[in-house]
Amino acid sequence: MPKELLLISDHPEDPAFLAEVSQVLGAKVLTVPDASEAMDALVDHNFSAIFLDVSKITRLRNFEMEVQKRFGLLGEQVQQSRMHFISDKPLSEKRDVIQSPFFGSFFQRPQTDVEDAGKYYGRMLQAGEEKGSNFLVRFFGDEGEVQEAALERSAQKQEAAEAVRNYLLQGKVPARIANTLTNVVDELLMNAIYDAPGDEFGRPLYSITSRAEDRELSGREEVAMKIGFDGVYVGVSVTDHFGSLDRTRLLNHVSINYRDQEYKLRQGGAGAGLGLASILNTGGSLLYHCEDGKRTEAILLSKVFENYRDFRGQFRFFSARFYG
Amino acid sequence: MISINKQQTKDGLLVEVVGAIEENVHLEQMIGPLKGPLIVNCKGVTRINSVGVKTWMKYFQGLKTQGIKFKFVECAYPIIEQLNMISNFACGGEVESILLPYSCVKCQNEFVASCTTAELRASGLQVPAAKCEKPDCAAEFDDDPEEYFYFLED
Repeated sequence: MPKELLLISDHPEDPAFLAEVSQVLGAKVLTVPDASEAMDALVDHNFSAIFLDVSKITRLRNFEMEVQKRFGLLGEQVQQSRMHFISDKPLSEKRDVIQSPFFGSFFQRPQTDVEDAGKYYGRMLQAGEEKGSNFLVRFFGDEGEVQEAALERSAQKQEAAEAVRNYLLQGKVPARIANTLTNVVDELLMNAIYDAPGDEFGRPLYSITSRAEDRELSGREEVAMKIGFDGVYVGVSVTDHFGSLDRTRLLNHVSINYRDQEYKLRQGGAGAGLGLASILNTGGSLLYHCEDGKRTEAILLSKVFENYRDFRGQFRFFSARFYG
Repeated sequence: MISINKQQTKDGLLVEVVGAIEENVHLEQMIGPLKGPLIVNCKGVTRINSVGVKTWMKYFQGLKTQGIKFKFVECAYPIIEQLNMISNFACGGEVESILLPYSCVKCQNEFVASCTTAELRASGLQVPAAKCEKPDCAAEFDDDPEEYFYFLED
């Protein structure tokens, strides 16, 4: 049976986007204008992805209410990993939707080139269909090149980040874009090295350790990094082998806005959400795939542009998928 | 890695920061004791990670507490991005001048031009025109002006 996608939107541009996504996935699309009509469809079909327009918060609240009435919050039909919120504003201006129990993935409606954006999103969904840490290999397929490295000491972080920077510069990526993406990789590596490891009870082992302190990364503490490039897109993934990422904590960090509130210094080695905040302010897309107790793969994806202006304005998405 | 070049001027100690500001940077040790105002030239900063931000803020908040005057000149984009993201990143120091990024739409040449924040404010945050060094080329401001100048808005 072909895969089915559900679009809950009355926005005139969304069907064109979904048409591109469905073409990549080989899926059919069912479109309904609002949440109440979506409920019957959810009973009769098994959708692999549900796209919901949340430009107006009332549309999200109606959806939440209808789902609770029909299926309860834990309904199989509306797992977070299947939900994709569409908005007319970036995530930084739609922080109210992050707190939704159905929040899974989010993107701002593409401003230009809907066809290209739809294909990109479809490719991302296709690569994420399987669990495991081979997202980039699936995303780039035979067209791209994916290289892999393992970090066996924490001090190798800087070397790894610089290797990414040099790789991008060699690929003719403009210096500012290369530096910005390198900074994101730096943050992802720091999270995997210092925040992911926990003891048998899940208590963090190194979250307050100085980030300048070198230590061996052996066994589960080894961190894997992959980088892929096909001349159009670049992707970097960082995988830890703990799967300890906490959904609530992650989404709370996403919600922080230091533009409106002062950043207060605290004790400890980390920047208390600053890293994630800076990642979300870059031009790339960010995906977290967390298999509880096994691994977390954090993936940075970006299209490559000739200037920063276009890089900043590119079609972007954020996705947090958690598996039990 | 980072390097810090120091030079005593009539206005205070001028410190030029070059490279990435991250976990191995210890500003207090690298800059040393201060006897007067500090001027930090940031044109050589390539990037700053979250630990670097924390180090930065701890150092400059310390100077503020001690009553030592400091200002930032020729701030490159990694510093501008932090100024725009964190409302108290300057820790009370004056941002005297910033670097404006441009790219040529014809030859893709990337370059920067320095501009004082006073001039930018006086112009209503208008992007100054700039020319690519190659003839018959056309440079454009390589960012979103609204985002880049956000920290200068009242």
